Amino acid sequence: MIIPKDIIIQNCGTVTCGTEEKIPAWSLYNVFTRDVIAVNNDVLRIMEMISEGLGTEEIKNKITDVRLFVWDISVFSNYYGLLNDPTRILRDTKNWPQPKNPDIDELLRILEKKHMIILDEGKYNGMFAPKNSILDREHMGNFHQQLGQALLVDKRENPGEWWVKQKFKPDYSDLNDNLYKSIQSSFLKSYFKTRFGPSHTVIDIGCGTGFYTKQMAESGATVMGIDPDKDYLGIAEKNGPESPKNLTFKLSRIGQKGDLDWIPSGTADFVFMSDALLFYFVSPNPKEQSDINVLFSDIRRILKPEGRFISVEPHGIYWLRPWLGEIDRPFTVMTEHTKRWFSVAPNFSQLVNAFIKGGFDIREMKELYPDETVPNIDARATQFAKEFPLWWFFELQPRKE
Amino acid sequence: MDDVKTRVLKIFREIAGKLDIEDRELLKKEYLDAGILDSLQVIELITKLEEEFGIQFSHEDLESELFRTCEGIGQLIEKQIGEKS
Repeated sequence: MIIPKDIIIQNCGTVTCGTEEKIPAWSLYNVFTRDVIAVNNDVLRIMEMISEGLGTEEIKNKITDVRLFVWDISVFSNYYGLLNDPTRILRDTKNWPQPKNPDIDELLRILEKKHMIILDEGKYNGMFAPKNSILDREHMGNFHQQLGQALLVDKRENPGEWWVKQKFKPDYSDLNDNLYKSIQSSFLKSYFKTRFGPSHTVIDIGCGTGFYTKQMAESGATVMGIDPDKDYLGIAEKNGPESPKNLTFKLSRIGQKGDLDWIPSGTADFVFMSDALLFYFVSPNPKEQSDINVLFSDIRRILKPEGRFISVEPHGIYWLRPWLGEIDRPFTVMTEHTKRWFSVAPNFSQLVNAFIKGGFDIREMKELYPDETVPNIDARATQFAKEFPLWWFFELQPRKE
Repeated sequence: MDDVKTRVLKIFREIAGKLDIEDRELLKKEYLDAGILDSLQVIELITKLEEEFGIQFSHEDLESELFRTCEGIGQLIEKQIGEKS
């Protein structure tokens, strides 16, 4: 029985239990598994004994009069939004469930289940690997797999419908009040306004429900949104302001050879893609891996020689990193960069090299930060994203041979 | 073969499409490891079985070794039906 060095302990202050009794609580957070529980001082004493090498019976003999408190404060926060706090901690003690008061045997079972103690180190190390199937709980799996399991198995929700719900308000008129709005949308709105004009032709590849496509059209540019999902396009066409003449949507597959052959060559001033290239690096469905070079070669062909490919993607270093620390003094913990089993966004060199190999020159690159004038955004989210950018933006030009 | 297993196999085959494998072998086949069904098909299997038998699989059921074969799924279903009646 060992305590892995993967655990950080943080002060949660005191928690009021039933009879107004105030109990000092500590959160134990496994930075690899993202399991978290809160415990009282007596549980920490027992963990100290475990770290000294004491076995269950020795602990029981040594400790006779203890009151153990354990709160399960884990939450799969990304179910409520892709840009939600990926730390997966139920932070506000007011929302905590009732504590359990386990005996020592039960406590050890909880600690093992939550990966705060390890009985079999080989098995523990083996957990950090892709899932073999959607029912596999022995392996942690990457983010796509974890989300898929949460949606399909635990909640029985359709991922397509879920995605729209976590991003947009129910009438699709606006984004939900989260970082999509204060970072991505805020940046793009002003970018489209300054960069696009009535003389331009813009193609939005993977336009989804057309939210940004419509913003692009407000510049007066001729804009076409393309998506393989007819439900999303249905939303794009039916909702929001009546589509102006300079805006069209078209159903088309994307990513396989020939899919975009119907778009004439050398016709677009801009091609735009957001939150889409990551799926070419780690596909949510391994049976349908698309070749990014096929896509890039299509984009190069469609663009005018001086045209630009605009790419806005989740930040490959900081997206999905835990939001730790005080709200005003955030920090994070990196558990992977090179050997990635959890991340699904390409890291910097993977993405840049894909652009270079794909025949593009980088004309501009920005890391995007929150616009703090956007109201109702979670303070921790904003403070974290101010220090650790959650999207990056590239303006690319087809390389002249 | 009893009725429950026959019905499980029928639903499994409807979802999996054409399979070149006999019922007796399919019952024991670890279909997840063999990659016979993809993620969405696994979910479809769960949902259809729950509808067919008027039951609900628990997390423990879905995580158990039994759920990895059609034969095991049949046993899980029989257990639930047995508890109900």
